[in-house]
Amino acid sequence: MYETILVPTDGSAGASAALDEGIALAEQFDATIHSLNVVDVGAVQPEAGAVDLVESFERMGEQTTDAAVTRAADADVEAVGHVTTGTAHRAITEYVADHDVDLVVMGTHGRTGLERYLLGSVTEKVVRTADVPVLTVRAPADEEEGSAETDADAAGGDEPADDDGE
Amino acid sequence: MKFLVAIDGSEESDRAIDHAAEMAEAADASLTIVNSVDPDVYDTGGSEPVAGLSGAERRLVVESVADAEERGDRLLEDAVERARETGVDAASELLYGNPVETIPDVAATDDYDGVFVGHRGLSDEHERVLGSVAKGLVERSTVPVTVVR
Repeated sequence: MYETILVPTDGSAGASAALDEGIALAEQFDATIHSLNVVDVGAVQPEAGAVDLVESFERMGEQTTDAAVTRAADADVEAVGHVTTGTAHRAITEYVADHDVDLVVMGTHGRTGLERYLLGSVTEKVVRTADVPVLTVRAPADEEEGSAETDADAAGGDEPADDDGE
Repeated sequence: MKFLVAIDGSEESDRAIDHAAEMAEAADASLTIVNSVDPDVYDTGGSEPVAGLSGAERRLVVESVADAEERGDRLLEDAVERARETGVDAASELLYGNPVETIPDVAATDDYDGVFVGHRGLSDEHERVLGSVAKGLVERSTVPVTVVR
């Protein structure tokens, strides 16, 4: 029932928990994992050095998706990695359409109270806009804080997304 | 493996049942279908002080909770039947309270492995104001949640 499972990644604990869940499902359904990292070019100001910055984000994205592919391979699950640029949730839903993705697996930070009203998230936007089922996985509580601080580049987990008024 | 499906009788929640039933079959998991009756919705006697309400008006409020229970029971029956048609035996349970709170609670307390819920394609503006049960579950549940469109 699932042949292609997309696991967007930003290298966070939430994305890592999502990858574990995605690999478990891929084993069960003999599906292929697609690990996608989105470099959000909106976060980079068009100034001198911007191109270098995007390139280094792309390199980081490649390392992250390579690591995901390796983890899938360790579980004998077929996987491909892909790095793209754009607005995170839009790039993810486009990838879903272009690659016949059957399921998206993403992490959440489980925000509650005021915080969740004030902060949107990539996961929330994908849940709202994707045409396919979205499986959300909570990041382990003890790892959440550390990962949030290292979420330097874009997308896949649950870092606040700028509201682009879509 | 134990899966939980939250339903509200919408088309989207029917699809969540179908999806969860397929998953349950594939994973050899048990399936429980829940509907949460929210007393808050019926606890609106107006701005009059409670003492000013006549007995009849009180009864109306009580009866609408009973109506909601009846509706919930009927939805659950249909849902169990729908799952059975796909070849999966499902249990059902009527919950009381805000679904965004009761469902994650039950999922965590009773050790479910996954929650399935349908999601209506509300407009951005609509959803920003009202939120949605699916979104609330994604935010609150400690158990993985699959949102089905």
